[in-house]
Amino acid sequence: MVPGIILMHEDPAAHARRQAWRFPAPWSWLALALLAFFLAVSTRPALAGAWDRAALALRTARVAGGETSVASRQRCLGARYIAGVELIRRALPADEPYLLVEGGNPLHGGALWVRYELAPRRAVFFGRLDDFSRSRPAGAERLRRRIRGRLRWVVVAYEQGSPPLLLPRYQFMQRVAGRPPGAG
Amino acid sequence: MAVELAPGLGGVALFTAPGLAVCGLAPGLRRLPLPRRLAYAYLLGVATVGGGLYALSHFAGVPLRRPAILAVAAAPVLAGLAAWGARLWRRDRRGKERRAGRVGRWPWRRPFDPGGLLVAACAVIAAAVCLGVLLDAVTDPVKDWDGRMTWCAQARYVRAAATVDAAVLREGQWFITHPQYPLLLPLAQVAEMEVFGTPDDGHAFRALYAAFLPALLLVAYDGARRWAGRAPAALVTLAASLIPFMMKGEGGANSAYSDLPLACFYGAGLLLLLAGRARSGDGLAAGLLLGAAVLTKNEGLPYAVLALLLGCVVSLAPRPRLRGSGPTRMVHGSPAAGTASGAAEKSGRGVGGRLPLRRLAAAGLPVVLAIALLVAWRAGIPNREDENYPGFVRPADFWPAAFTRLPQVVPVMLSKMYDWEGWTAFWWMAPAVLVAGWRALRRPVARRLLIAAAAPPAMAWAVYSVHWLPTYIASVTWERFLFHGMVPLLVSLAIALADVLRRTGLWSRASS
Repeated sequence: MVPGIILMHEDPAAHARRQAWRFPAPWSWLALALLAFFLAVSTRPALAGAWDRAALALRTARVAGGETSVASRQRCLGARYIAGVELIRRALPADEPYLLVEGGNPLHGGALWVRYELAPRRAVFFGRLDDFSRSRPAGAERLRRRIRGRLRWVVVAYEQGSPPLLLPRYQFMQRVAGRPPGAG
Repeated sequence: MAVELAPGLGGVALFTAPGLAVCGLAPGLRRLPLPRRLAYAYLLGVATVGGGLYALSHFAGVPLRRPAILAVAAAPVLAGLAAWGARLWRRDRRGKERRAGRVGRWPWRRPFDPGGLLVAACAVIAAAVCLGVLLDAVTDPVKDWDGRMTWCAQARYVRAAATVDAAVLREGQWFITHPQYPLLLPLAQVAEMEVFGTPDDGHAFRALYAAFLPALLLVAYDGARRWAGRAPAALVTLAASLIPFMMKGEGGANSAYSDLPLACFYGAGLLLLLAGRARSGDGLAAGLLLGAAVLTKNEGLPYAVLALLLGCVVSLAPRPRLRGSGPTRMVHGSPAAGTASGAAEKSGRGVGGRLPLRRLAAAGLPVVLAIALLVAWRAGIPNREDENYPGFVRPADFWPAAFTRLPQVVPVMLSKMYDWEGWTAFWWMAPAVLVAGWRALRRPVARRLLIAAAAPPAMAWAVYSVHWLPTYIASVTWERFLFHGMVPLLVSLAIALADVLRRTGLWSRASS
């Protein structure tokens, strides 16, 4: 008789008994033990996490009758960072494009986060600040050649937590060229 | 939080209401209990409203503003109400008597059912986990990597331009990451924000992403219950709800990635096709879900094609011989598979034998339309800041890299799977249960589910074979590929668990 095939006139309980001795029961018990272990070790952290979220949500709701979006972003992303972003948002109209420069480690995504915070303002990416700074005159010249259109502003993004910097284009190019602002 | 909770839940309702109407078209979904029907309804709502807005915006230039969004959401609701009214009108007297007969069946007069208790306990724990995810969504802003890099950034650009053909996507000089990624989820986000008037900085839209977690759990429970029984289904669903990566991983319900929605669309569409229901409405629902998978992520296209192929196999499979085969009618599977319809259903074939091609056509049409929409939309968008696999991959690249790179990527994959913070002991438990219940996995439906579950890891393997940084890409994507096949994996797990429970005698009614 083929295991796993049941006869329709057979009692299901009898079928289960017939099959039980055929199968290596220890392996089944091991699988069930692992399932029980997984449920045992995972339930408490999952419920504790849910409880923590509920407590935080109730706390933020109670504190100010609903936390503002700026306050929640400051709480999660850093007050200085959000203050810097808000400053740039006020200075740049929504339809004003800008040049975006990565001032920190690109693997940390600073330019990506700043682009998101400033969207829907359109960005043109200019690469890493270090690339311009290492050979300053050449970097400035390269930058001049690449600038197209009427992009008047440069945003330098740093790693999460450090506020981004907004500079007029001429000022940024002076810095890149190693000259102090206003030196002509 | 109080400000974000209402639009967050409202956004979920915005898609669930039209989805319920679409469920009304599919007899198989219409008969489901409300929680499971709501899960399918949410997915179908996102598919219908999001897909409709996508097509209207691209082909007809309809602005993505509140009137258009409300009209697209209201159309299925009105059609569903009309269909519901027509069904009520047609109901015969016998149906009324049957309903009247149910009035006297008080729930507390039913015999004690330990299976029901287990299901209730699992449901309470899973619901608590989902509630925590929802509260996180309405409390905190987006903090994850891809959410800010791609999906939510695209949503802001699309919202500002009121079209999916935003200039920032179509003009090559602008800095956009993955500009050709499909926009279904950002569009859903835009729809919610426009209808409820929430600002770009609000995070109520995160509730849309969070709602995919209960949807995935309920869809997986639905499939598992159909083929494995109630108790194994409940246990496996509970196990899935406790995986930390499902909640807080990069791609989980707390993030704004499209991986969890993709897992839901792929899994739900696949289950509807494998269930073998012969009605066109069920095929259409499956097609809408698979079409949504195409419009959710690049990986959705091959997954949808595979699901349709598996649906073809179900349709073309010969009818099981259930009658007149002698005194000992033999049926693979559980002791409960005693009836012809039950056996056909559990083997993954239609009750009526070969399924009509009309059902397959109904499933295939939305997928073809979704592919056409995606191709047409992408045609105007120069690709940049993207891997662009079709641009550099040649068939010869896979050999011998598919094998020579394994020593580099397999340790990364294993370290991710056995990371306690991400998965606790899930990948210790799941293979053990699958091996212990291997006999049940010989059933045709289980084999198809395993193929469907293996497709995303197979695609990951192909990607790691050609990518220039295989270990890096494996470290950031492997868990998400596992995630994509989670629904068929969970259902397979439940089928194996049912077998294990029966053999150990712990649950003789595992398939009840």
